Amino acid sequence: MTNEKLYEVLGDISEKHINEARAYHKAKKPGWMKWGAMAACLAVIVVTAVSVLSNYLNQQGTTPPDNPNGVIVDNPTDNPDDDTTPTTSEIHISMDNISFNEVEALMDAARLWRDPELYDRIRWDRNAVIDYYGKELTPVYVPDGLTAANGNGTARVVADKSGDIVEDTVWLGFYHDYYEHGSPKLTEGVTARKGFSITVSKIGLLNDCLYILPENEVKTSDIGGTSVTFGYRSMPYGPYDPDTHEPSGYYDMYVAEFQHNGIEYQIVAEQMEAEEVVKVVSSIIYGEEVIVDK
Amino acid sequence: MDDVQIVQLYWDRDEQAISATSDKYGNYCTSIAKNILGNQEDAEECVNDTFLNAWNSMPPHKPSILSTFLGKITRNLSFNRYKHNTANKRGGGELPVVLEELSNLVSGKDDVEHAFDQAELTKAIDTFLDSLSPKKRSIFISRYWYTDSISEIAVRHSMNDGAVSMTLNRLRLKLHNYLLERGFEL
Repeated sequence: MTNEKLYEVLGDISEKHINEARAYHKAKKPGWMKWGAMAACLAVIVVTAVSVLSNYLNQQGTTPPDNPNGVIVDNPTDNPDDDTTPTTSEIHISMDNISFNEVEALMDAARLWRDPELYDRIRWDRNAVIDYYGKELTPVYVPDGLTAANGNGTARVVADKSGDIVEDTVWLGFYHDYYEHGSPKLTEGVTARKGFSITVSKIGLLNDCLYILPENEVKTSDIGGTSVTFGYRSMPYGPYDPDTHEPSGYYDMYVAEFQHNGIEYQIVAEQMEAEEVVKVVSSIIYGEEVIVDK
Repeated sequence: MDDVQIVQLYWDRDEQAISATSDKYGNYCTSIAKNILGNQEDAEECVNDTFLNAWNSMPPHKPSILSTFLGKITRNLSFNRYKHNTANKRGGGELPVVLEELSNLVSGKDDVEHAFDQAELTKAIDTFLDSLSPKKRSIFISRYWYTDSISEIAVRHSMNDGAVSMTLNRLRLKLHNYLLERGFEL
């Protein structure tokens, strides 16, 4: 088929779609929502600060002499680099077949604001999530040293008044440690999270953050017949130098996006090896642990 | 004037139908034609032809959504004009870039062996569009139906140009895989 023919075919799509596309206007957040969001962010910062402070105060008696500032250290028994667990998998993935795209920029993407008069937020327990997605969403492979976040397996989704689900995003986190209120803990030294998150949707992912890849040369990688887009970005971390604004250093962030069995997946991994990220993705696609050959 | 009244004017063979249509949908049709042709003069001619076509097809036709009915006529006429202009080496508007993007989805050959029912293909694309979020659907249709420029789409969806291009890249890839899985090897 020629591109002109396809353009003609596209001209015949449903009038409902054509009309709706023109009528689409981004639902504008009312002013109070913006201030509400800022207040929510502030609340998170305060809760984090209180949590860190209370941890600090609780640990005053046990502060190690080489850590006079009381900075909370990782649990020394955690050893995320230890990947010596024997595996019986027959499936091999070669890193030679995996392409990474440089993520050029990160951008905040505002979510649609759902009018509570028209939409309900519904809490799904573990069984409801499994019923809807038809599977357990936790990947078969989770690197050693990472544990599931508290709310994993449950979700808050949005339905319209007729009960139809309009937002079905489920988020799962697997990080090295968590603060008391549940959010992933930053590591010592490199002030960033360590681990990965999986966001899934059947309707279409609504991202809070867009990962901007180069426009025309996005390479995809074939894993078990599924086309996966991997992205990489070297992320700066603070504190920043007050004069030069240089960051203290950089850490690795990987993003993987793909669709498998009608479910869209987005994985964001921080401070993880590329092989580990590929292994997590492959275990979702194959439903079993695989061996990644460097 | 509402659309039902305008359609009734056509059915009554009242020439006010044309001016009422032009007042209400003139800009809408012109923007579609201009996106494709990239020049005001050709676009205006296509829009005038659109009104003439509408006059000739109502009755017997009674469109359920007047705007898209007119938009479809404008799009077809403008695309025909574009092909005529291209044969005469006259440049288009946004369309050459849009066609270039679509060429990643097709073999580029007019292959009769792989010919399939066009209505079935359109239906599959509609089902694919149904599976997208409203925002992604709107971005896709803005580009490949309305032939809007990336920056127009970015403004309408409060995004930056790069994010729109990226979204379109992913949607094309997704559509390609979706159609392949259903046996449409374009």
